[in-house]
Amino acid sequence: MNKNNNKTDFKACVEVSRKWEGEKVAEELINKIKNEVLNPKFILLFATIEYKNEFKKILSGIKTKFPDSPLIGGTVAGFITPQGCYTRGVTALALEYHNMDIAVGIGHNTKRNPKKAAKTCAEMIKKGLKNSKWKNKFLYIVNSGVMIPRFPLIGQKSVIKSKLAGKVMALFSESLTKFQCGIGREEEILEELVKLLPDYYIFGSSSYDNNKMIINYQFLNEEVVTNTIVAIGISSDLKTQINTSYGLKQTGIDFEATKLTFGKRAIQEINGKPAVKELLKIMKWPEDILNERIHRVTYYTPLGFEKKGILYPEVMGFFMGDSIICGYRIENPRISLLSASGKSILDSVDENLITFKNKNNLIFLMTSCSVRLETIGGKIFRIHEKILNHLKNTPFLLLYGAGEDVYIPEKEVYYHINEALNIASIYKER
Amino acid sequence: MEIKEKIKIPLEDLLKIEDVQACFITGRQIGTITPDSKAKLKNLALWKLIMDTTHKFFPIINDFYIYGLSKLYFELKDYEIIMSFIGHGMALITIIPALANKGLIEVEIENTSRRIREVLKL
Repeated sequence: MNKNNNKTDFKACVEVSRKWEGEKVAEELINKIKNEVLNPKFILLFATIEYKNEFKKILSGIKTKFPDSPLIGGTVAGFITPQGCYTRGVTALALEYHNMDIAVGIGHNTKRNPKKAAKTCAEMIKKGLKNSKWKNKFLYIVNSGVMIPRFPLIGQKSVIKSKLAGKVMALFSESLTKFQCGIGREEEILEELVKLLPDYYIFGSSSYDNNKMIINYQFLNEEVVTNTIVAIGISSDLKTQINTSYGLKQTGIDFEATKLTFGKRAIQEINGKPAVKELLKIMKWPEDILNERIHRVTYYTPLGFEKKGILYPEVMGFFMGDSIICGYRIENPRISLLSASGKSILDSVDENLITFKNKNNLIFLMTSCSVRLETIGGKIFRIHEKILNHLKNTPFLLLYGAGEDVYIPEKEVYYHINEALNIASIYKER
Repeated sequence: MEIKEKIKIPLEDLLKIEDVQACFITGRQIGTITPDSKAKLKNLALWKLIMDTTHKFFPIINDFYIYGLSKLYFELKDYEIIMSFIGHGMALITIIPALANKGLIEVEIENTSRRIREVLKL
């Protein structure tokens, strides 16, 4: 069910361990991988944050058995594999294929200097694949997602109404470069990667924890790091198709973000008035909605703007005084309020997967936003059923992280977004 | 292994999740099964109230089964109680903090329910 080893010499599997101890997780994953893929070209490994004290044991266990297989990965809020849906566990994807070269890259300090991190990572990939004879390029990336600083006396809050808001906002901004705690700046990383690796399809997501935004980790072989980008560059004769669907509807409510601050990530004014008050007025929300349960409302009502025909959904992450802080740069001040429902999220799975029909798909890599997972909760198992119905025996791995990255060279489009479902098929032309 | 012991394993896994304060199975046939590890819920009066009263819901909700009743939620000031029905007259009770990320926890509640259904061959 979770392997693909009968279409050419391509072999791949996606395995899961739900054991708690690192050594046992590694042992279980190794045994399962070895049954399907003897010599993986690379391994992708993702774990939920519950395993943070076990990461080193898991990675060293796997690398001991597969010393020649480069490994990258990170933490996620949850994942779907052929075996099921999990918000606690460890998953590994292993792949073997003859006509393929691999290189790994890493760039540090992504929150302090995203461009430099992207450049270092891209150079490693370029260097590693410079002698590859295969023409099709694919880059799988794992970024470090948002981490919210805990301020003295205030702690970690989503809503700050008091006079302290202005001060907290300044600290928030400062902590990003000083302590590397804050938003992920993934869109800046992607922009640089696209410049440096224009021929590569780029696909990936941001590491995350259990939606608490305290810490996230990235893995490179046996190393456990944070605030880095890790990547696997693939050069092969296999092709890539990427598609994004949303399941978000336009509410017909639009407004102008007349003042953007914090690197265009905070809306300070809407229609020339203080943003938070104006949003409440537009949405006809009572003021007491602004409490620590606000995400149970805003997850269903993301903001969205369009750029070059692409929809960029943004989660309203924090309400600080008059400002609404979002996860990435708002590139178009004309903003729409969108709405998500369980049904629309489920429908977006069919809408997306149908586009891969009739292709010789070998494996599917999928990324989505943890907000969608939090929104749909236990009904996520319906997404699992839908994927199995579409893909049958083709292996897949759907990760729920803190944002998703896509670059499609032939369309010359790239985007870092939230609240979407992104699917990449690695396929062989018939 | 006895059925009750087999059920304790997935309950124990669920309780290990950071925000799960307590969990147990209750049902007319099976009685109450709790994990071996102690519940993390600090409010003992609330814990006692939940343990003493949840079975009383079954006669009230009985008629809703034909409409596919699967879950009941109770929002308290500081906690949320999730009753997930595993079969007729049996429920998995999970207590989480009011501000927990409920959606993520619900995925593991569903996995726990599925494992218990497997044990009970439901």
